[in-house]
Amino acid sequence: MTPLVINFAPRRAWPARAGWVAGGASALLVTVSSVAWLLVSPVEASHMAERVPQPAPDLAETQAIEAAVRTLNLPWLDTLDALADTFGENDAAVLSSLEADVPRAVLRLGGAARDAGAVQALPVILRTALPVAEVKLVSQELREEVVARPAHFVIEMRLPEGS
Amino acid sequence: MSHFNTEAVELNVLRQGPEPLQDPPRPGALLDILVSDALTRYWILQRPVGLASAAELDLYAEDRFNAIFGDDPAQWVLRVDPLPHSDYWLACAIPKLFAVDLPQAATARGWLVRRVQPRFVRDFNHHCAALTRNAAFCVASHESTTIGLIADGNWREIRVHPPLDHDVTSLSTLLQRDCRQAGMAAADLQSVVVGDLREAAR
Repeated sequence: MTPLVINFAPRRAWPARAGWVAGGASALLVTVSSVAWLLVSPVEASHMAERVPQPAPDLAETQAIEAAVRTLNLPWLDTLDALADTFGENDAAVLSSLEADVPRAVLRLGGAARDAGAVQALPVILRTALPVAEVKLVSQELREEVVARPAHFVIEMRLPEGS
Repeated sequence: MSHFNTEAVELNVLRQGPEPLQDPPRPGALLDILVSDALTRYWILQRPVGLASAAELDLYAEDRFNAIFGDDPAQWVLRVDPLPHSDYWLACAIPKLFAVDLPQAATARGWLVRRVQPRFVRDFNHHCAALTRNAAFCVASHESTTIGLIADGNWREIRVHPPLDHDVTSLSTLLQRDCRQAGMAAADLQSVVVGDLREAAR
């Protein structure tokens, strides 16, 4: 059974000391809460703060970042640079397309040459200029309508493993 | 010295009047006023339907008090223990002289009045944890014998009888009589007797 809630005693007011203690405790609670809020709120509201402009990277940093990105996107960067140099110096043939088959480590070159002899010479030139495992002339075609470089070709270059 | 001293001095209000009120040992000392059941009116209120406020409960209790005892409620202070899940509530009343005037006099002398309770209420609160949901709780004192009957956790009956040392009637006879009045079987109840004359009740 629960106790009877029966008491005829008059309700008494809080004693003065208890009032002071309660008031002091309340003031202390408010102070502590305020300090805690002041310490925490800048962190919580940091997303609302004005953004501080970041200094722009200098030229060296930019080039380093771009080089890293290009390396990540194109693993055979040195090979491609060498190809560009080779076809740039060779006036007899130009490169018109380049496809990369990364899993097989194969580059497929498409282009046009001045004549069939220039096409036949290309594998040797490439094998000499580039560190390749194999160079294979896949196709050759003469297009009479193109006067300057009528001999179109497709060459496959297989790069050495680990390159 | 503890600032939370809960030791209280007890002042008994007997049939012939209250004990002399002494000065407190220190200002603000606690005082419990214990009113004899011989001066207290007890009754059971059946939970009214559609009670809207505490004021309505007070009016209802006053009406029942007047109907049962025939006294003017203005001279008494009434209290009800309105248990939320019970259909029957214990109500009691003590004269205004002991509920208002005596506490005011004690406060004026420096006492801090903590409780003003009838003896049955005080003793019941001391022993209620040991009571089952079907019980007869009896307070056998030199002033009166109060028997409260509880059935299935609800108050069913409460009566104040003469003290056992003044009456040839035994407690078991009183209990049988009250149980018959309430439609209960005394043998089914856990009987708990407290008070100065509890030995006489055996």
